[in-house]
Amino acid sequence: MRISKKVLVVAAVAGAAALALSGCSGSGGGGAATGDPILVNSITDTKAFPEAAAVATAVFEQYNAAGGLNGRPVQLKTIDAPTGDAPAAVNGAADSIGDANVVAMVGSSTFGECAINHQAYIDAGMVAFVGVGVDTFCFTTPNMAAANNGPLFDIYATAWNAINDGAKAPCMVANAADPSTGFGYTEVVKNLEASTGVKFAAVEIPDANQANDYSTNVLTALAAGCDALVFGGVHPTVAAMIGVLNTQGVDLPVYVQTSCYDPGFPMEPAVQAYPGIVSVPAELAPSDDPANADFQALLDSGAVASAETWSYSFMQAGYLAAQTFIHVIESIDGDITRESVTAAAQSDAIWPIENPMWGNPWTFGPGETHQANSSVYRADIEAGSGAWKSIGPWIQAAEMDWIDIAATPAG
Amino acid sequence: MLVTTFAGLTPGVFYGIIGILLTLMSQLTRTVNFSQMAVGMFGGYVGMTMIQKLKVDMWLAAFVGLIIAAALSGIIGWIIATWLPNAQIATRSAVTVAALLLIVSVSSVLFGANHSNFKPLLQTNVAEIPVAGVKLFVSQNLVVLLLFALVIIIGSSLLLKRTMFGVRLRAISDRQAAAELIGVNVKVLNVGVWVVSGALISIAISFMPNTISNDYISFSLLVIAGSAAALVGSFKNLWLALLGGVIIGVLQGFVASLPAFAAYKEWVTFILILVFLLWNQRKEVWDVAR
Repeated sequence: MRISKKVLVVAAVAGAAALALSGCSGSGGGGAATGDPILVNSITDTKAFPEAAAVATAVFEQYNAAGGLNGRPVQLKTIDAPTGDAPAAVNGAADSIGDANVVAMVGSSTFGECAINHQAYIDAGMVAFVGVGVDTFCFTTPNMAAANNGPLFDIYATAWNAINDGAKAPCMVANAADPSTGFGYTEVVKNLEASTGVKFAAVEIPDANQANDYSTNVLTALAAGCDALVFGGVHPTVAAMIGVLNTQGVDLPVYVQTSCYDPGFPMEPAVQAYPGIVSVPAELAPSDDPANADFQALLDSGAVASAETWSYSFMQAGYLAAQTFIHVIESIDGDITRESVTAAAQSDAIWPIENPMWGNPWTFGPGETHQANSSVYRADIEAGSGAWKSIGPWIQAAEMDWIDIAATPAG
Repeated sequence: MLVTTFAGLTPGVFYGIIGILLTLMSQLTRTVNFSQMAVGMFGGYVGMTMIQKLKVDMWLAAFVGLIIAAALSGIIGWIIATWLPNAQIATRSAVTVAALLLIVSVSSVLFGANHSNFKPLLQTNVAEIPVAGVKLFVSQNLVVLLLFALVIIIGSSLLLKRTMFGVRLRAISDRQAAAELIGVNVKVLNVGVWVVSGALISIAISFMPNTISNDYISFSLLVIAGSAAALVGSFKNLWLALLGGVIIGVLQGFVASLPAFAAYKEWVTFILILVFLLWNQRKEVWDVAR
């Protein structure tokens, strides 16, 4: 078959146009602020966590349109680091650190970038306002603080809800995204058993497997005689775990992590078919809370080209990471440099910052570890309802006897 | 142990169906179709989008998904039949690897990161069997998938051995040039096989229980377990392909029930592939095998 030259030319032009347009759409800046830009970077797995960096970019564009910091715009560059591509994460950090004009990392969202680069940021004296932090190092590094509460605090709160509801023999099946998280989950179980006196009937913490299949872990846990199930993992993985319960005629209460708190999860076929209650400790204000008014207005303005599949809480995390950075630079009297940003972020003077999207005052500060977001808000799915129902109230770390997990053997 | 081993039956039969389809495709189109699962997955996503966004009936959505999968498979077959009609099996199969990667990428862009798992057309249990103090649940999914596998094996055997159409199908595989000379439309038949293959995997996926995440890469790569199943039948015997799939599924369930070995559940497939490759080569002398 022959393809005419005209067709080839049209295809080439269309392709070039598409590339040019896609390139244009990623650039930030512009608007009323026209001074020297303040540069920040985000290392993000744009496939798994596209939300936070995109929303942070929109926050800065809105900020710049309103004049920026004394006429200086904030420009965020997103560096893609897909999960499993450690060199991309390393190079992203090296490029960011190597450019003296990049003053901080803002909105980074990956499964493992904190573990990979935390020491490099410490050595470079650079701080990271993490958007969605997953691995333990996002919460145990002096230079890092995350807008989200992370999987360790999250799984703790998830299991705490189960025990608080009266579970005497809960079972945990939690897929650990990386070794440090797996270790952290084990510590969480120990701490929780010590603080509540409740012994888990079974604890399964499988590493990620090629088929993304944790059905046998769920079956093994069920065989231990659970009276509640605590599931850890991202939305599709946990939905599949609930699918396993459906095959076994189980209707026990199920407790899932905040990574499942999106509008699509209750609509999952397995979740809709499940005859029991499903509960989550949301890490940020639930979507129907007025605390989200400004954030929601930003979304409604069309500034973020979001997809319906995007996680609401991960978008919130990007919004808060950007707001936190703005709070820091607005507190600095002198020049905005990497050193001044780091000094301000790690000082006591400007913290905490209050935002009702968090359930607690948020602090970066000089701490060696940062469980800055340390509260959760309960929401439930009633059997077959197809929607989350906000239950509340905010529950603080102290009420749950949370202990920071600082030591990790891997990394 | 009994529960997890028994639970391995359903994925095992599914692997068997992939193996059966890979065997048929290998025999009739001289291609190891690595895009087998991917085309069905893409159709599944289209169907799920219709259910969730357009609120259409799930059976209609499944039918549309089937048509999409069949068409997509047909396009891959058409590309191979058009540009690589006389190429070696490795070259033709490489095209399906490219198609697999393309479908995974396009699915990721179109359907996003936080997509929904598939909704099985049936998902209730038909029987509870109490054995040794535990209950074994027999699901509609297992029954239907097993019946579907038998229908494909028996149906394709009858078609290929007892009908003139089947003779033509075998002819385009065995003696393509000769078949063309006697007036058989090789290209149309070839593409037709691809279309049917896409439709069949789509049906099988529609009856899979949603007990595993349909993540683009991991779901598409279930074709590896299917390949191992096909290897048990040496890409020739459909019954052994089904048996191979069941063995893989049950062994994975059994291994997962042993705490010391649970982490190595995925290895079952690769060990099986290795064993059968060595077995097939057992009579070769070094020079020949090399």
